[in-house]
Amino acid sequence: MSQVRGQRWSAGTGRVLPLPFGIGLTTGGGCVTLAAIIGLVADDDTFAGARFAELVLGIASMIVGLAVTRLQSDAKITPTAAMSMFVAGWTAMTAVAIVAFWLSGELASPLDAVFEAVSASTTTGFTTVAEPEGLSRSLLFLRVSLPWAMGLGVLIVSMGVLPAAVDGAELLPQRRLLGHKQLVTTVRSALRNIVGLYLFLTIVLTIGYLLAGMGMFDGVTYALSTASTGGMANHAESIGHFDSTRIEWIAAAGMVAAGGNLMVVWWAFRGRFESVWKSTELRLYVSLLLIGFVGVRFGGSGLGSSDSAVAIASMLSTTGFRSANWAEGAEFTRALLLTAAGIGAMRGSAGSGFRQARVARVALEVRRSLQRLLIPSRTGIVRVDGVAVKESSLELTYGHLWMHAFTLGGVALLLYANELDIVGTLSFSVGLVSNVGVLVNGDQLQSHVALSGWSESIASFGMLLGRLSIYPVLLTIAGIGRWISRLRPGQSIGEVS
Amino acid sequence: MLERRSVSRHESGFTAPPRRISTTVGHISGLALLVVAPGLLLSALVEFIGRGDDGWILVLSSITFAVLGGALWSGTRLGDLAIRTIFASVAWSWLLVSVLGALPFVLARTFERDGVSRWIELADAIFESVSGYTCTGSTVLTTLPDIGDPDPAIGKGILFYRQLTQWYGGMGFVQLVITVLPALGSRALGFMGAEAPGPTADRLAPRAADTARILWKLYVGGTVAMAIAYWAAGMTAYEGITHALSTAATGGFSIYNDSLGEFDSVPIEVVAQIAMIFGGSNWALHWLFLTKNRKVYSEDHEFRAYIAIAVGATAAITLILAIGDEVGGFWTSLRVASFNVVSLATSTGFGNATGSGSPGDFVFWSATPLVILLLLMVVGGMSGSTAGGTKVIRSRVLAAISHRTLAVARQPRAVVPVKLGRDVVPDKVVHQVSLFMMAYSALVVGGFLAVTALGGDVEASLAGVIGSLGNMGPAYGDAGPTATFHAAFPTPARLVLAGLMLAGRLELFAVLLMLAAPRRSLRKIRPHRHTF
Repeated sequence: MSQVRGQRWSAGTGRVLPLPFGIGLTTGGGCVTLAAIIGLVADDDTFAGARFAELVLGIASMIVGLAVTRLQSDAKITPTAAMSMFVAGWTAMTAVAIVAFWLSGELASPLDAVFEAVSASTTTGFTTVAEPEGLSRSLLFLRVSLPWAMGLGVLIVSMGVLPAAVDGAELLPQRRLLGHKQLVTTVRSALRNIVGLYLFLTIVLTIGYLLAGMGMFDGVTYALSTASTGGMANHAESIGHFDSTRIEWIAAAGMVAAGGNLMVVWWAFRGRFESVWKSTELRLYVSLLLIGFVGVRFGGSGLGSSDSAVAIASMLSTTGFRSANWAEGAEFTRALLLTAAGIGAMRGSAGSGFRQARVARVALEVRRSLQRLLIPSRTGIVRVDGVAVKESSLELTYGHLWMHAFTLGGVALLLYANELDIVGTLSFSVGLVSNVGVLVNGDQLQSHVALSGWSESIASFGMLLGRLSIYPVLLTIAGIGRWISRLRPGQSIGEVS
Repeated sequence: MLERRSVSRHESGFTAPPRRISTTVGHISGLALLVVAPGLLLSALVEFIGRGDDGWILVLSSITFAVLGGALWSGTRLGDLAIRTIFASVAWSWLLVSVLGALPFVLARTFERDGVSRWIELADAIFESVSGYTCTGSTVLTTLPDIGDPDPAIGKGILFYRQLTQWYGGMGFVQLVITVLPALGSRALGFMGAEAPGPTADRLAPRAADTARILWKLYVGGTVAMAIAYWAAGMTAYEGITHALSTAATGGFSIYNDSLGEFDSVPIEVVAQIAMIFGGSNWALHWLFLTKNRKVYSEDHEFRAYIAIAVGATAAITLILAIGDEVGGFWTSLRVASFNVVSLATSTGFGNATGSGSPGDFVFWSATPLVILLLLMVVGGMSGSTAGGTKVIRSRVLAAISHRTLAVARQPRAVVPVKLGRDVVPDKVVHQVSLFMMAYSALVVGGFLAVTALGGDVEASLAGVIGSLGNMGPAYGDAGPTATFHAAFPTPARLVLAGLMLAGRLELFAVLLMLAAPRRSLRKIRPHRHTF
């Protein structure tokens, strides 16, 4: 029997799934356990029953998760397997979170629990809760710890696991420039560096928020949310609740750092600016930040400097914090921020969106092609970070661009959100696929959404597609489809090879 | 040597012929102005018959076109025929004709309003002319008459000319030039490709000039058939002809304030929809259907996709409108949905709203139908048609590229071709389509930011930019089907939109190259001296 089960997990990419699935369960369980403990300490007794239930769920998930990680999973990690692992880990973590959200009894319906959990675990930041201030501390902590864990997961997979598994994979940062040789000599050291940097950023942000006047709980939760580009906030007005210029500047700086490539941030911190400035993606990121800041600040929005900095940093890093209702401002500001949200953060960050690197490649390709039209004999080469990009790699970028566009169009088409106007629908779609977590509806800038069950389901799927860069989800779905199609009546799973 | 030759000419009594400058841009532009001149004369005739006041203005405009065009044509000769020069020639011809096409409007003070300067009038006239020649159909004209208006502010000749601008732009006046310019030889196909909508130009005959003639004959025949159909459906002859001119071109200008909604007639709307689908299809298919292959429509994968998109969008919008009880019952929903889907999918831009807030006024619909219409604006009609948008074939290629990307992500070392059905799309075409769409996306984003920076609101600007690049006509918000662009966009924003219309009609690259290529060719200008 055990042999059959062993064969089952050894079939196809399935043999690598137990490890990430177990890690997902353990991580989700850990977040829920920690949140439950915080709730038991900080919340009043009315939530005690739910907290105990969450505690049991969290501990049970961790135990099961740890057990699952011990199952056979010694296969070579191929790109498809790595993507499926990512999806498996995310699914496990989110499943635990959904149950925890539902057990809390503070959300209106099971679908709301699904939406909230997906929004948190995809680092999006949309919420079905109109007044987060009324939620228990346990739930508030869970809403920010999930994106923090997911942010770490994204960084580990994109900068640790995939570079070790795939040679020159499209989804990865440039290994040569961004530290594969220097900082990622082995998977173990990569993981150590990534976790260290991520923790360091979170701690620095926590200290900054505390020094700027936040309380301990708010300081920690907002730091977790900022470092992960999650955007979940403890207040309906987001960080605008504090009405503090210092907090806004710290948040803006934190979001810029979180939306940047973690290795580049580290190099900048170490003063290696010469290496940092070689990055085409970073130059684009900084340029867009500066242009966006000037556009928002002086484009008729009426926002102050700190609000403008928060606005553009929030959109480009795909965090989704708000310090003011910039939807009331000039139309140009709305257009600029909507565009920034579509572009998104740098690779090798916890942020999402189409990514700066792809935008840079597309822009360079358009320039090269125009030059070729003018001078047909010219054979231009697209160089990113000073290195020639392979044509096959460029083709993958274009493919991703169109897949991104189709996803965006599909989500906008299927949302069927009668509660939103056309700008709201488009803004919501961009927010979902880029995991920004803020939308413009009429003159209102909001993270709170009250949608039908259908719209919430589509929105959840849209967030998932955006967070996992589309491929992994589609490939996993296709893989599941193939796996199911192989199962014929009378054939046991153990015979699948 | 030179001195001896000139003495010899003097002595023989001959005078030296005028020197002709070698510039393809000037030569083609001159011819383009010349072919438009008869249209202005025809409009003048309509104005005289309609007892309007602006007949002589149209005659004067026609003379101006003829003189300027003649001077440019006779003073220049074909020069460099490199691909960049061909693109630039087409783009400059379009710019010249579109801008100069505003002359009748300016002279007739068509855009005269209280408190508006002459400069704004000029800008409005240019916008209207560009919108006409590019077959966009967006208008800033606030004084269009209603049916039976006893004292219309605009004469029939001016309105006829306005419709005629779209007809010229539909098939393209450079293509008309090709039919009368045999000197282009094999390079004529390059000119056709630079002007024709779609990734490649179809070839219906061995010689490009013959292909252009066939297409123009078909175009004239189609227009006549549409005019007769409109007349049979209840329009007057004048109404039928003017609307046929803009329908064949998938332009969307109407001579009435409420477009086709003015008639409030199901038969007219049905005729218009069939005609719009015809205009938005590949005209080469029509020719092949008439001459060779009766199954050509069903065998063409782009045509099948084009029809499937229109049917699917109509069904979806009808259901949403009917279930939400947004415009009335099922039949009203079907009527307004099918008309507006066909109108925007073919980039025509006709409206069937009978007034602001009426069922056909789609700006009052819920968000999802508007998203569908916006996507239709992006996709547009078929390649080789008179329609705008990015074209159905490109969307299909993009979907195939996405599919290949997914396959490569799964198997990084696999060599996966891009396929449409069973046909493998050549890498060159795949690259061109990708490049076109990237440039299109960049222009949408850039235009969107520019128009909002100049004062447009987000809703109207996004739809306005996509609509202008796709040569659609109406947009959203204050620029909907029952409104004009005048209310929604300030003058500078409208000029940006006019630029986007030109870029969209010429499929981007011609416009992008128009500034770079002539500079190179100007350096090579050499006076050409005739020898005896």
